[in-house]
Amino acid sequence: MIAVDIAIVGCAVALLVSAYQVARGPEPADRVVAADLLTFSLVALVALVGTRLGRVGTFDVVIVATLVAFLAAVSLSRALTGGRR
Amino acid sequence: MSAVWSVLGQVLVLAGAAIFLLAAVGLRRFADAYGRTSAVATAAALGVAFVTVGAGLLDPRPADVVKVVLAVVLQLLTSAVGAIAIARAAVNSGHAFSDETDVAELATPHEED
Amino acid sequence: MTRVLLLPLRALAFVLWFTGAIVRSSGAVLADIATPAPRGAPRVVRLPLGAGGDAHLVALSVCITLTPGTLVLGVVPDGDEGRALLVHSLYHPDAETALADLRDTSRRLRAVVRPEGRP
Repeated sequence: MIAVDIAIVGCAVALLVSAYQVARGPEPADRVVAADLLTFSLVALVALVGTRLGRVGTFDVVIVATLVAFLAAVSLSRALTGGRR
Repeated sequence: MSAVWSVLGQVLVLAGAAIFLLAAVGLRRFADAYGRTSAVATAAALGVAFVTVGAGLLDPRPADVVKVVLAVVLQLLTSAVGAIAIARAAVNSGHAFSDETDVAELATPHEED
Repeated sequence: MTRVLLLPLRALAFVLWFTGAIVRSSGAVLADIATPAPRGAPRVVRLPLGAGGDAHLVALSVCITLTPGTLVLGVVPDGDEGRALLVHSLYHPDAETALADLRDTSRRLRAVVRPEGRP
C-alpha cells in the first residue's frame, strides 16, 4: 500500500498546484483550465483514498465524480463566454 | 497470480500520479490557456484512467470490474468533450493566443453556432 | 455480414494503434515539460471534413483532443455542405505535417465503420 500512499501525495500536490493556479489566474480562461485539473485530481484522490481504506463502493463514487467533473467543465466554459453559446 | 495484479496495480497507480504531477507542471509551464487545456485534457484522462484501473487491481472485487471499465470509458469521453468545450469558450470569449502561435487559419471570418 | 462481425476486431485494432499514437506524441510533450526552454511551434490548422456524419466528427474530435499536443477548438462551416475542425497543435513543425497526421487519424477512424472505402 506504500505505492498508494505515494500516489495520494502526488495527486494532492497536483490538486494544491491547480488550486493555486485558480487563485493566480490571471485570465478567466487560465482559471477555468486550472479548475478542470482540480476536479480531475479530486476524482483520482477519491479512487486512491477509497482503495487505501478498503471501502466497498469506491468506484460508484468515482463514476459519479467523473460525471460531476464533466458538468463542472461545461458550466465553467459557459460561464467563460458570459452565458452565450 | 494475485501478486502479479498487485504489482501491476501499484505501477499503474504510481504512473497515474506521475501523469498528474506532469499536468500540474504543464499548467505552470505552457504559455497560453490553449496549451494548458491540451495538457490537462490528455493528462487528466490518462491519469484518472491509470489510477482507477490500478486501484481496481489493488483491491480486486469481481463486482467492480464493470464499474472500473465504465468509469474509464466515461472519463476518456467526458474529459475530452469538457476540454473542447473550454477551448471553444476561450476562443469565443476572445482569449488571446500566445505571441508565437500561428493563427492565420483562425483569422478567416467564420460563425460558430 | 463478415463486415459487421469483424467490427469489434477493427475497433480493437484502432484502439491499439491509437494507444501507440498517444505514446509517440507524449515524447514531445515530456521533452518540453522536462527541459527549461519552451519549445514547439503552436499553430491553429483547419481540417476539412467534407460531408461526414456527426458520429465521425464527435469521435474524431475526442481522439484529437486525447492525443497529447493537439486540441480541437471548434467546428466551422466549410464550403456549402461541409464542415471543418479548427485544431490547435503544439508540436508539429509545419501545418502540412499537422494536417497529414490529423487526416491519418480521420481515415483510420472511418475505416473502422467502413472498411476499404465501401459506402
